Amino acid sequence: MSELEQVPDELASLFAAERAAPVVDAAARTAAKARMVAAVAHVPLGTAGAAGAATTLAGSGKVIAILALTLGVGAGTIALVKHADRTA
Amino acid sequence: MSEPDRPPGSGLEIFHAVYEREFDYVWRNLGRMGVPHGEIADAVHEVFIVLHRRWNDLDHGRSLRPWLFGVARRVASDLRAKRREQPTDVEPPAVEDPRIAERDLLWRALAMLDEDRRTVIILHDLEGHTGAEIAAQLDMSVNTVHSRLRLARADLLAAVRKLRGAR
Repeated sequence: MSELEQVPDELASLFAAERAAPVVDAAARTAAKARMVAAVAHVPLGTAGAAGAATTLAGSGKVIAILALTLGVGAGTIALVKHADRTA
Repeated sequence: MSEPDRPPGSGLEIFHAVYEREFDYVWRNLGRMGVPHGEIADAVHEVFIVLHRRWNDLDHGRSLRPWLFGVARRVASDLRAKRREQPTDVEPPAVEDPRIAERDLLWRALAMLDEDRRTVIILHDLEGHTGAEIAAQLDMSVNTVHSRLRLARADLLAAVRKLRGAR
């Protein structure tokens, strides 16, 4: 397998034990699969999905908030200018 | 096959087939990359969510494993950064099966390595890739791969002995 010198025996036996060990127990595997199925059930492949949609919504919320703030400040400024014109 | 000709749900079926096929590969490599036992399930989920999201960007004519390995590396790296901010106990639970005990020892020893050396030893000694394949995947020279591998084995041996001595 190796192109280099032999792997030290101590490491070689650890590597062999790691490959022979079970990766994950059945319960954890089943739970992980169920979670994945639920996560992608209604999300088309290649799209941002639920997490992406949440991010987009959060982003939209920020835009709306900034817009509202800008409009509010703009309206306030106009009102102040009109008031100044009337009192001048 | 064009999209309208595709049977409903077939894309998702392929995704789930890939999930079944690569689940152990991703799980095992996240463990090797130092992700604590209690966080591997979340990390595996994250890797496959990225696969699902990026599905249309991938070349499905080629092996997905190098790409999955790269995503797993990023996920593991993010988790490591998070753990630096909020340290948690990474000690694995006690086990009866000696193979699992040895595997856990190896994973803990690998977690003590520098990331670049750990990556080379995982790809070469555990996944069986050649120096040339690793060089192409990591965008480095074959000489660098071999040099890192020698250093990684020495570091790993020292880490294993340290952990065995600490038992």
